[in-house]
Amino acid sequence: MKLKRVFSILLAALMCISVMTGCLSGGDEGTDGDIVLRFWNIWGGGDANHEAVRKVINDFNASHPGVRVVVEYFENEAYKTMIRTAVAGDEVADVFSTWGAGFSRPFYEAGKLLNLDEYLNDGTLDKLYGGALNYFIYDDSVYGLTIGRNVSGFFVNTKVFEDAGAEIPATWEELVEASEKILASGKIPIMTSSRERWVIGMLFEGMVTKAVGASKVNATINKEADGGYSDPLFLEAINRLGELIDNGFINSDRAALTRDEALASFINGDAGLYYMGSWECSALEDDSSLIKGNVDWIPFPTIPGGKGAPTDFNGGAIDGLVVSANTAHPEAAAAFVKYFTENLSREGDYMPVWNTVEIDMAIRPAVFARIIEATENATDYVIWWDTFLDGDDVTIYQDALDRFVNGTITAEQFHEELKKIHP
Amino acid sequence: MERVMRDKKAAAIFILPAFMLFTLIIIVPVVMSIYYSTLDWNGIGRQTFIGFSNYIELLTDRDRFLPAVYHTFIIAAASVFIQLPLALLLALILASKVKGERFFITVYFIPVILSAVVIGQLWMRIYFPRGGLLNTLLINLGFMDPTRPTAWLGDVNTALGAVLVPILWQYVGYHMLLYYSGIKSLPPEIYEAARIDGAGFWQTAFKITIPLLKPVLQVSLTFCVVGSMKVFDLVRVMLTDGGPSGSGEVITTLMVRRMFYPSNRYGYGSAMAIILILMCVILYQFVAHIFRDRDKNRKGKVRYE
Repeated sequence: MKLKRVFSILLAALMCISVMTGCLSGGDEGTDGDIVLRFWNIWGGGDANHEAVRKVINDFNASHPGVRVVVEYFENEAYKTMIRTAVAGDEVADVFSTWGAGFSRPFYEAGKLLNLDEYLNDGTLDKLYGGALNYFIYDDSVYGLTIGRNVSGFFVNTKVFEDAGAEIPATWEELVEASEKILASGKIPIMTSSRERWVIGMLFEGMVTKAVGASKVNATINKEADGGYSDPLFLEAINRLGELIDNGFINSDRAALTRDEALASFINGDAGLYYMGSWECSALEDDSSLIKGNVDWIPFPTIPGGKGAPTDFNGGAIDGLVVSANTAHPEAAAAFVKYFTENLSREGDYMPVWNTVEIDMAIRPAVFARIIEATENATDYVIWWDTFLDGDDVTIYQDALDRFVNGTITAEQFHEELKKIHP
Repeated sequence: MERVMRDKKAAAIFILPAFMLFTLIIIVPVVMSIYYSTLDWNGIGRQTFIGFSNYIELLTDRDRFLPAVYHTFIIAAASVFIQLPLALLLALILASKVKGERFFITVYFIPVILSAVVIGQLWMRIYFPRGGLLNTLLINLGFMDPTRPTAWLGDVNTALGAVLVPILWQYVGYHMLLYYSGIKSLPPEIYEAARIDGAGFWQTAFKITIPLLKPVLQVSLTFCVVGSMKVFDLVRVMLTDGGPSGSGEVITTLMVRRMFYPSNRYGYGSAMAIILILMCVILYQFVAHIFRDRDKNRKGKVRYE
């Protein structure tokens, strides 16, 4: 039967492909009797930090005889779903990457995370900048260490700006003016993805910070009494987002593009601006990037009448590692978490929260240095809402944002939805 | 054999392993889900019993859940009224001794064995707004303004339709194969007699093949309807979070996002799962009912079994 053979060959080929893309495990085979630490994270093959992560793990294995770290990598969005199931079923790895604040709070409340307090009194706390662990502190105890700080902002394709004769904007008026020129030159002013809501969410949150001011936004997402979405400046930010969309300044195919496709399009030189977190630096300055050497970085421009200072930024140290409460080797796991988080800041795209780490600008992408420079005088930071807020609130926020950017609800309706989270 | 069947004890012993397995794998999880669906629970922490609140909230959720149910039914209807007739037509043509019969069966069946992720990626390339296959074609034919390409998967009006096409396309081959093998197992004498009586292609199809194919049609219709209720993979791959403004949201994709990230409402998601199970059971019974009625009407008439 020829038919059968064709099928079996096809099936075999498919299986090979899925096996190859599925599991690439790092770490060497150790001798028996070693402590084996399982480590789950999201910095797999396609991630900008992948090489750095592999190097740090290999270095740890080499410098810590008797302990062996076995890694599994997962895709970011899928990981957010599966990690909860794994934690709930007590099947999670000894050490795993997660996000602080609202995302990991259910893990803490269910007693699934190891309290790291006793492992940090060896001088570790003194090596961290103040506030570095804020998002991993639950009821005054530390449950995780962050791998570093990120900042979101506009990556700028300077060539697109030059070709259009546009100036890199610092204010809203300049942004509008530059966008008009870029649009006229046949390029897209601002590239984003609303298919993955957190991507356009980041852009919107950047605008909110500049409209409302970082301290008020922080009070609002913290649900403090002096915060609240009722502030008309929130509506102002929503209207500004609507203005960018209505004028065609944001790519019209945003709802069809994934984050990766938006990034690819920006790297391809299709757009002037791309709003994203600083972890994207390596991808933009990679040898395969068509815009390498033409990348600059700016925070979201100031908004007229807005209360946000030019030095109010969005970002924070919310990506981190935690240890499962069920681990058989808490000591080794805690040691690994400390080693990994400290050393990754030397290698990866994150800004260090360890004062022991000197950033070697020579090995960093040029635009990374620009971000460090631009954020040196930061007055305040607002963390990304979707990792900070609790699940229900993220749903309300993202669903409303999605409807607004697709034109099915008005700015006022979007504002009303936000007020449901914290009036 | 009869003696063994009469022995109730022996029967019970033989049934026991399968019964235990069935209970463990099907009954227990369903009962657990029913229990979870009455809880306010994030999947990890404290559980609070809230009775039918989740169900009430679901059935009054005009923003997300009811549209998702509506979209699911659209997919089911399209599958029944477009996919199945197409599959039947293909099967009829292929079974009428066309050249390259085997080759075409393979071709039509290939989408069935491809993983949904592969198909999703493939069709995402086709729909890609700037430089995608479909838009390039439409622009070159002069049907589309090149400066304003349609974002098929990103437009509130087209997202569901765009994702529906590959769903139909993928399983046409599957139903076609069911029909084809059904047709092939019919006795050739009937066709010979029909040919001698001068029946043409359509007459043979409607008077002989389709009536005799009824058991296969029932199976295929059941798979099709229940499968449409459970559709998940292609929608998830092609629309990620239910499409723009939830315009391509189906029950399963909403369920996953409510149950896990970002909502973390395990109880609420479980309630959705229970409603989905009920819908599947009801539709299954409905399909069985349609065919049972026909059976009764035909009583007394000569039927091929």
